[in-house]
Amino acid sequence: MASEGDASPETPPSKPKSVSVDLTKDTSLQIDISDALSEQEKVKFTVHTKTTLKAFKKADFSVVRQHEEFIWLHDQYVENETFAGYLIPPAPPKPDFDEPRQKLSKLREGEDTMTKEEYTKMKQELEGEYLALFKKTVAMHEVFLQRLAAHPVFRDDYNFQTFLEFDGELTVRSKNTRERFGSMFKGISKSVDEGIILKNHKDVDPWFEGEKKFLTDYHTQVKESTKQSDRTTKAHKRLADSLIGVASYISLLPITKDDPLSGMYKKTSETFEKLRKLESRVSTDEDLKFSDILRYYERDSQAGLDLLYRRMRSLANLEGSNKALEKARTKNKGVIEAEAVQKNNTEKFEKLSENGKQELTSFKGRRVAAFRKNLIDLTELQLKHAKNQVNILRATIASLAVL
Amino acid sequence: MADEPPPLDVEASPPPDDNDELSEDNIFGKPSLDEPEPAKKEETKKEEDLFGEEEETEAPPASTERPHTDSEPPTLEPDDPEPPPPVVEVPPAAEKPVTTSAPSGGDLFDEEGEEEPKQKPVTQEAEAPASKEEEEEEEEEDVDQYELTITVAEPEKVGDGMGAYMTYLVTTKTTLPSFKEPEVFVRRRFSDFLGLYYRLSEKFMCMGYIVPPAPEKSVTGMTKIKFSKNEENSALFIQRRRANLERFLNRLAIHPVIRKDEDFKMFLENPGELPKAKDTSAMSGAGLMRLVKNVGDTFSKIAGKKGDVDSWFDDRQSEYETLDTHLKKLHSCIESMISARKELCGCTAGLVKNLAMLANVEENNSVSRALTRLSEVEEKVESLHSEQSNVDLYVFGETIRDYVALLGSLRETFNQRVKNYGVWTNAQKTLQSKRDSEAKMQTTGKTDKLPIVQAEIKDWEQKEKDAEKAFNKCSKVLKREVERFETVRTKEFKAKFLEHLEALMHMQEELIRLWEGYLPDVQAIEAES
Repeated sequence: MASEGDASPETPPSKPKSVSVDLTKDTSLQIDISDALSEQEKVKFTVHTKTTLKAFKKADFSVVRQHEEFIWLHDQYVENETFAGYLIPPAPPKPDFDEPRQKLSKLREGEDTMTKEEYTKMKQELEGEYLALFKKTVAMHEVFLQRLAAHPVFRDDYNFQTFLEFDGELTVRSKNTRERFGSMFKGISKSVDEGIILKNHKDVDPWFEGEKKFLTDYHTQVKESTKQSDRTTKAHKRLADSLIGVASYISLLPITKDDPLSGMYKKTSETFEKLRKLESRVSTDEDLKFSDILRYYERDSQAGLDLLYRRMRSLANLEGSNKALEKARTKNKGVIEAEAVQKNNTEKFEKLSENGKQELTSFKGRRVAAFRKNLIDLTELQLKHAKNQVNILRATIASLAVL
Repeated sequence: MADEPPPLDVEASPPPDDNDELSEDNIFGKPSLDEPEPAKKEETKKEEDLFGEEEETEAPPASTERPHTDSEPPTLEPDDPEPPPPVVEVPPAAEKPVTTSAPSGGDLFDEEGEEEPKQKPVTQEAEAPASKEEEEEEEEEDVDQYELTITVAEPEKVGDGMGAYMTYLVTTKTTLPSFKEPEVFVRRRFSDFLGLYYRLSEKFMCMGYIVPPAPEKSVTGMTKIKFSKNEENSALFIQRRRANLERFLNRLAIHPVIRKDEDFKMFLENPGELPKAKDTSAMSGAGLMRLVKNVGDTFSKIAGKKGDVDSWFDDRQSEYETLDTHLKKLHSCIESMISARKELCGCTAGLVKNLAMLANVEENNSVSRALTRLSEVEEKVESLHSEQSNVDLYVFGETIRDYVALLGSLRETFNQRVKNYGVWTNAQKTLQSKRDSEAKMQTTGKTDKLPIVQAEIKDWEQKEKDAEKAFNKCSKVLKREVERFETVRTKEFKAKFLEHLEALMHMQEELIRLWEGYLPDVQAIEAES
């Protein structure tokens, strides 16, 4: 089921193709994570590349990468001015398996309060949850790389190629404490800076001003919706799991061998067991088809905001150089240098704006297409599960009536 | 059953009538009365369905096996042995002729359920040779012919603060000739219900009857009502209590002996306030504690050399102990399910709001509309789960909880029988020692006190005989009670399980409807230029 997790919002369906930069049909650089191993706290991803690009030494190769290296790769794009006008694919979230682990230890504590059957099933459920989460983690790392590979500019980045090809540890693997603190400070100062710049600067370009307003509001709402959707699917999973106990104790109800209802108990218990599996699927599918797309666009809209922020910085730089040029002109000193700087900044800003507009427009198209696809999938799966439940219940009710 | 004519011209009417009801809960019931109300009630108030069974308590073994009466509905009544119209005098006239009226009930239902005499609980009755005891058996067997349905409604808070209490409107519909009116209303407070249970259990338990228990007094629940401002919680508590009281009364009403009890009748019928039970303060606090204390949580046993004098009781006890454990566990699982579902409702309600807000900021019109609609769909999903959680509680959870409580009563009666046995063996011992001293006196020649001892012996002979009789009778009644208990339980479980499954199915059908209605909205999503 988790394999559906990478039903990535990246692959737009064919219908609304007005603004799609779908390069997935381009087979010149294909990346997948062929294997992943969980070793203690670390997850080791085997990144497999198949390519016809001449930049690579071989056509088919694999390297082992850890999460920190993905983060490093992401940082390289963010810090590279060349990419300032591009929507940089959000970095995958850090693998976190604490929740299923905690649940498992909690289950072990309560082992003697439940039947063996109940315990076994609960354990299976948790193992399933763990596996699904693991697959999902892998899928998010994979999608990150695939998006880079599909992008006409990102794919040619040297760091990216190193990441894919270099058969050894990238030095980033163990960031020391100072570096980590450093990046944290950077994070804080950036967000303060960003907040002020984004808020206080009314964009001269109404298109970008509109985009800014939309992305800000959208990001806030989609973030809240993601949280709530996660809560809902988890509650749904708990509802499904609660049926395990019900099914288990119903099956224990016959008091004698010839209890007139033993047939009914058996049938009902089996039915509850089937229903809980389906309810569990409902919760998983809601997670994959709905929570995940919200989560995805929570992060992508943040990437969009980052782009706008970089544009505002660039604009501020331009305005600064405009002033400097004016000053230089009034003082008639260093005018040529100032002009060069101003020209350079203007070019940068214009290039960035042009790129940005393209990127954000394509983002819109991708988003609409992805919502369409996922909501259709969600609806069809809901229908499928509900229909299955009705069929099971109808058969059970009919068979109880003749018991 | 509503429009059934008086059962004399039976030939004509039953078939269509019967078919009409097949889908309803009382498929088994071919109640032999011409009272229109109950039919309506059964349609509207599901909770009562299972108590609608009074008319046929004897029958379930046959009928539970064959709910499919379609095959031969018409044969149902031709020779209905006990035509209802003679609603004249109950005990002597109606019963005597029937001698362990079981067969009558049996016949009636055999036909309905085709022939299925094998498992009839009645067979045991046949063994009973005692002639004196027949009377009571008969009394028990003829239940079916009179209706007695009770509703509890309109809870009302009386007074304020510490002294506040709840009263309920108790409505009785009956064809029992001992009632003056076919429909009576009284208002009773909660402690009256407890008082009723107390009286009945005092009276009947030692005779071997299983007296259905009244709901437990809930200090926390009541305190909330007295002082809490949380109206919703109070309302839920009261609603649950009301339903519980109603089930309690109807369980009494289907009991062949208890339904005819004077105290019960007075409770249902007497327009004034009830005389306070001897040691009332109405079972609150101390009174209730006393009652609870001798309940105990385990079965006591007759410690014969090889267990109980009658191994049947040992077997049942261990069965019920197991059942008790499993029911309690099942009940706690159902409670987890209910709370999980309620939590899901809460989360979904939150999601409904979030989605509406997300739809609000969404710039693409078709996506925005799809999200708005999704929010609406989720809102309905929430209300479906909310309805279902009520069904989980009232249909499934409360039934199981009731049976945990009923098993408590069953255990008490079992223990009462053990007590009766103790009384008997003590009497035997005393009698033996009296006889020993008589013999001693006679051998030693000290005859001066002989007459006294002999009088005592005579006295104790009587006591011993009485105790033996009491014990035997209690054992016999209890055996029959257990059978009755199982019959009712089988039927009730089946009805409730089905009702619960049907509700689940209904919910899924509604979900299909909702999502099918939603599909066009998502398909309409398209990019804008």
